[in-house]
Amino acid sequence: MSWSHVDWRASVGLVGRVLKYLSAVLLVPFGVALFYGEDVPTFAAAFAVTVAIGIGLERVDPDPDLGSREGFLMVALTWLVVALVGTIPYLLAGFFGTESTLAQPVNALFESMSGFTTTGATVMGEISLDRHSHAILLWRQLTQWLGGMGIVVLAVAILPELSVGGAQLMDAEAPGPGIQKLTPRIAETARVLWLAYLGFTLLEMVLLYGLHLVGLAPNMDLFNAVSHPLTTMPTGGFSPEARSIEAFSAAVQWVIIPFMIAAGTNFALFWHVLNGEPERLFRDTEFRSYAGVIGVLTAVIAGLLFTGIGISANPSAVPPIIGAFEDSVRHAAFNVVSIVTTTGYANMDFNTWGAPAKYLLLFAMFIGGSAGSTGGAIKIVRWVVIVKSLRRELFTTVHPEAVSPVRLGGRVIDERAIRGIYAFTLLYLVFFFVATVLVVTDAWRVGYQVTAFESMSAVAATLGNVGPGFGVVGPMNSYLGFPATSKLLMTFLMWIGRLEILPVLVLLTPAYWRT
Amino acid sequence: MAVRVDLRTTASLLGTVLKGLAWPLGVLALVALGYGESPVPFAAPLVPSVVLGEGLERLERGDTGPREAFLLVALAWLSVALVGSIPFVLAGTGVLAHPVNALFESMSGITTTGATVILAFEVHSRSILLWRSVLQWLGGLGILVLAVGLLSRLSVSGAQLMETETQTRNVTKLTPRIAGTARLLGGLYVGLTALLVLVLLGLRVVGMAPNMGPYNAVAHALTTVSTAGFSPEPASVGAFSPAVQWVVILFMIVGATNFVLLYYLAHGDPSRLRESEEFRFYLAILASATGLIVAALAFEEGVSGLDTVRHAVFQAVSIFTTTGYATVDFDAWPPLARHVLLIGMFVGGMAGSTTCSIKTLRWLVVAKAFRRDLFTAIHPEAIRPIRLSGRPIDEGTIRDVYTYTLVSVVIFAFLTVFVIVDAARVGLALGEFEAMGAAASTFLNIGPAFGIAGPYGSYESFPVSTKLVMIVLMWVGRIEIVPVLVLFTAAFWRS
Repeated sequence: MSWSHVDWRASVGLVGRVLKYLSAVLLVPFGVALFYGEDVPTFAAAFAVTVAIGIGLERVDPDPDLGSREGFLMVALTWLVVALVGTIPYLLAGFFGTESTLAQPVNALFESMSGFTTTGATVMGEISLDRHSHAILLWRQLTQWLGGMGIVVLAVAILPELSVGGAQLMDAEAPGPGIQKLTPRIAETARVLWLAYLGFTLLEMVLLYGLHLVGLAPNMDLFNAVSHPLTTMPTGGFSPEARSIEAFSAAVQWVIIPFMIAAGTNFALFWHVLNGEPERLFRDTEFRSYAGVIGVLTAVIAGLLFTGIGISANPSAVPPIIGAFEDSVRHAAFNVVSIVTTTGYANMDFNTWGAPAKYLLLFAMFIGGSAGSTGGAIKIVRWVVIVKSLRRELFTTVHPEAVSPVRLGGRVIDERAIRGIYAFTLLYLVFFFVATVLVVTDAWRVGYQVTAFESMSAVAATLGNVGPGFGVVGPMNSYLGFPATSKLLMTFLMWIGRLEILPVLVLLTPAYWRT
Repeated sequence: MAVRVDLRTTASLLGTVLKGLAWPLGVLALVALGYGESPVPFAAPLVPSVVLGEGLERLERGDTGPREAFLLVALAWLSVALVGSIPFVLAGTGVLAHPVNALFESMSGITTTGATVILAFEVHSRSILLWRSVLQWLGGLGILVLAVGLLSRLSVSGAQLMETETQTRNVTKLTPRIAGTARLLGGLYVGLTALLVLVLLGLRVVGMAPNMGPYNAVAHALTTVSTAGFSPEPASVGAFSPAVQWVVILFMIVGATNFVLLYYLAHGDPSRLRESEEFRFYLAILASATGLIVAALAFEEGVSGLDTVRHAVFQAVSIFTTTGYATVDFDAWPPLARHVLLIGMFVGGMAGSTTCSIKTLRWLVVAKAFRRDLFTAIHPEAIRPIRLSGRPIDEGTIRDVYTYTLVSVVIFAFLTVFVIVDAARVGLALGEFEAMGAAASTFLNIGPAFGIAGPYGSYESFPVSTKLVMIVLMWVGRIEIVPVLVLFTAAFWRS
């Protein structure tokens, strides 16, 4: 089976089936559209078209039989097709006359890919309910929620025909090196993950709306209280508010922080906690490193903000932070957590920060959340292994005769896995540099004014599925100004970033298609 | 095996190195006399370096293990840089009178970087300007001995690959002993330098290089073959005729080629060079970089004949071989061309040459390992060793290469941020691209960068703290990181 031709029909057929079931989600914004009486034809048509495409693709191979190579193709295609289909509501809404920037196909694709990959980079010119319907803004949030725990994981959870090869599919999609099987049956593991995810999302909705009811969050109405958890838990970062979380009270910001942290944690650990082994969370090397990174970065940036060293712009133009303890800590913690977990919310425009604080955030974009979380970028566990492996190398350089395996949480890591981690990290950095040069060159070609730093941050934020960068792509700005070619490149970066490069790259090798 | 690091042996070997410095210092003192300049800056450090060297050398010498070798390498570069800065301070002209500037210039010299703090060249005496070139030439010689004689035997960061690539199971096979190998490669190095001097003077004789006098011919030959890049001319090689520039291009390429392969070539065996996968990879990279730069220049201003091509080739070769000469202010080039040069700083020349940076050999292995990973992702059952010029590479070596490359990039990133933050502290206006360029150019030992540190600029205006950090990182980068990093591990000092 694995040495024959790639059976692309099987992959396409399965993508069609996933899409068919996924279209049911469009009924949610359709309901909202009916409730508010806006954009009803948009979502009715979008639902019909999506179902039709799903059924059409399914016809290509009604009884798909997936091998390992077809699995790669299926996972990569799923994300591409879902992002393409996700543009339909944006395009139709534009067609019916909102005059939004999303009516442009390239912009719509960018926004849709940014949604499903939980990036959170936007090309909306104006984020407001004056221009966009509730239903469209909710659809943006929903795309992130669907992408967060993984579309393929969801498919494995609900489609019985995927229970056999599901582990390999989930492995290709899941963030981080390798997946942990929590239960003997992979479909059950997938269900557990999605249920935990759903549970956190509902809990956050209740808390946020509760704050509104007790008067601690005046503008956190029901629409906002539903919308924000949908993009917190997938570490997505879209917000229906143009000023992101800055629009809400300090209490709301403090509530969102722990949920972002949870979203960047390996969900398998929550399973252990629920099974009565909470100590496994705190014993976990990756979780401890993750907490350490967040703690140190928060402390340093809070210090910079408190003393005023960290504010570069005219201090009177930014909220009063200097010398205010709670403000400094909250703004530092919120933005650090938002960037490390690759969420991409902001509770202030961190463009106003000075060089040291901004660079710490840029570095944080490369760290990423934990493996098995909804976070993006390189992932904490890879950095932990790299540091341990480097120390091992220095040791064996001095003692060439010594044999010292690299251990993680007491378990010896396979040398092949270590090499794989190095390869991924280097490949990630190479993609980052090359894409930066392409973006700079493209901007120069059309005469768009963008600095090297802004381009770097835009590439890091899209490849790492973070969302906002600095300067023109800052948290209160958008990616709208880039030429269409750059936007397409970034769309590609978000796609390969979410799938961790390899599943997409193998499709481009001749060996993949040869018999 | 020695129980703990043998400091006496290390100190004794270091003494030999210090004593050896008497020769170049003596020669320069004579040169200064010849030009009617004061020989004091060179004569003064001569005495203590001989006395100190002699004293250290007398210490008891035991076996040299890996730890002693690492310590020696780290200390040798550091102490030579310190001694090398003394003439600059004693001469006391221009910016070099400041000890930090002097040390920067000296470290930049001995590490064959070529980053300078000098903007006004005319205030310095000819002997001082020549001393910069001599330091670079010594640095190049040192690295040949180090890379071939030591690092390749200590399995450091994939440097052992060179043995695979040169198709000698052990470099010592070239001649029975390391010292012999080092002498052969050193001889080749001296020969190439002498050849370049003759060629440059020959061009002058036939009238194709009017301003290439004996002084310039020697000074440039010393820094070309060592792929180092100091020039006594403010306009660098741009001061000379196109014929000179083409000759320099050729010798930069030669200087960045594996000297073991060159040795075989010189002895009538070109097949090894032809069969080297790395050599082909290296030439292919140079060609494509030049092509991209020509395209970028053509897009911006149109091709003005052979001049554009020559400038593109010269700058690409100069940066990719980590030399750092310039014939034109490439800081004014369009973004694509400048970014190609910035990325080129990370490439470097071949292993076993005088170049710095990450080197084409490591990138070749990384590229092959990537391809293998993609293949085994589809065929998990397949077992595929990675081959270089037909020979399989050890998996541990591949990991070492990955580690080295990644650590380089991470150090570069941290240095960049330090440069930016430090500049912001003192209010020096510095763009991110300029900071990245300066960080890469010093840590990877290239020389010039962009903006204020551009080919016709200088590093003088950076704050003192930045210059000190750059000095340390030029040192760390030149000796391939690991010999310094291990000094900071407890295992190194414990028995």
